Amino acid sequence: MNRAKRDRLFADALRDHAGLVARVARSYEADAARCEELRQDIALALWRALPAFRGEASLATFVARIAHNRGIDHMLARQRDPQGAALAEDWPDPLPEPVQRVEIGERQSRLLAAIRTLPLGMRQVVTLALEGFSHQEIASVLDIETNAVDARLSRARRRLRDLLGDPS
Amino acid sequence: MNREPWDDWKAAWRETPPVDVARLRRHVDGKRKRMLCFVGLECLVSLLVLVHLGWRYATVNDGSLLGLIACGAFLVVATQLLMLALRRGAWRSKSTAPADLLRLTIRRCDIGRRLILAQWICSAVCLVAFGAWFALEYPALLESMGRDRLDFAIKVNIAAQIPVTLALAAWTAWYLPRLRRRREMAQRLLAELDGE
Repeated sequence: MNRAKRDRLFADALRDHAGLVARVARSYEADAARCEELRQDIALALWRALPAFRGEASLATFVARIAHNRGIDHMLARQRDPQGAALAEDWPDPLPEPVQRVEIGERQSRLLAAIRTLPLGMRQVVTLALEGFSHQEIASVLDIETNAVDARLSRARRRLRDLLGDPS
Repeated sequence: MNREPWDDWKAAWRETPPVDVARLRRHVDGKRKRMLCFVGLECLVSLLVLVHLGWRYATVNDGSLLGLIACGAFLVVATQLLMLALRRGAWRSKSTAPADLLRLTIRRCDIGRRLILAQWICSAVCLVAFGAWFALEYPALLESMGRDRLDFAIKVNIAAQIPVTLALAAWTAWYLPRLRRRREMAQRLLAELDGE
């Protein structure tokens, strides 16, 4: 892959999937400053990995794989699980109504805290499913069987429902 | 399966603050440049050491120093080769699957511990070899350098060795437990993946 193509792909990946990168980073790191560092690490890892991108899968699945792998590296470097820190003030995006903002912020905060308590395998599957990836795509990102995705997701949902309760 | 909580979670999950893409790009560009500079500097230093040793070898007439210079150059190359041999297989995983990356981390931790052990053994061997060479060459060195210059050279050598050895020992004491904790964490995460 030549330099120009790599730069173009990198720009596309950041433009289209920066949100995915940010959300995956949040599932691995609760602290806002460290989460920003993790986002930067993921971006750098993405640039370095781009020559391996053959276009066989979508760019989104490629980015997701890099993001999760960097997330694991981040946990290994920190040598601890990510739960415990408070929700960052820059989360969520400004919304029209302050009340609505608080409501969504609280919901996200509880969801993220619950997701971070899941075992790694469940956490990866559930964050990718929340991103909207199909089970086949999740299997491809994590290099596991689709059956394993089904089983992990089903258990993760049960666990989340136990942790968060049923809002309906 | 009740769809309601899932849809609700999905909506909450997708609410993302805007990401400063330009800042991310600036960071990546800066980091790339720093990495390039670091690798270049490392290569330059290695090259300079070898060129310096080569130049000393070509210009020095003293037979005992020639042997020392040749030993130094040999040690530089041998150490590099040894490090590469020990690291074989440590750089790349079979795939980029999370489980393989965790297994690679465990392998790297094991290799890291072996590298530290090898480093101490190499240092001890070098020290013993230097001591033996010095004892054998002492009369010739005394004759060629004179007592004062030789004493000064010994003192400088000891003054340089002690802080380096102490720093290495302190680094080992800090790094080994860190390596052990990293390995334990990787094993635990792998168990979380395998246990699914």
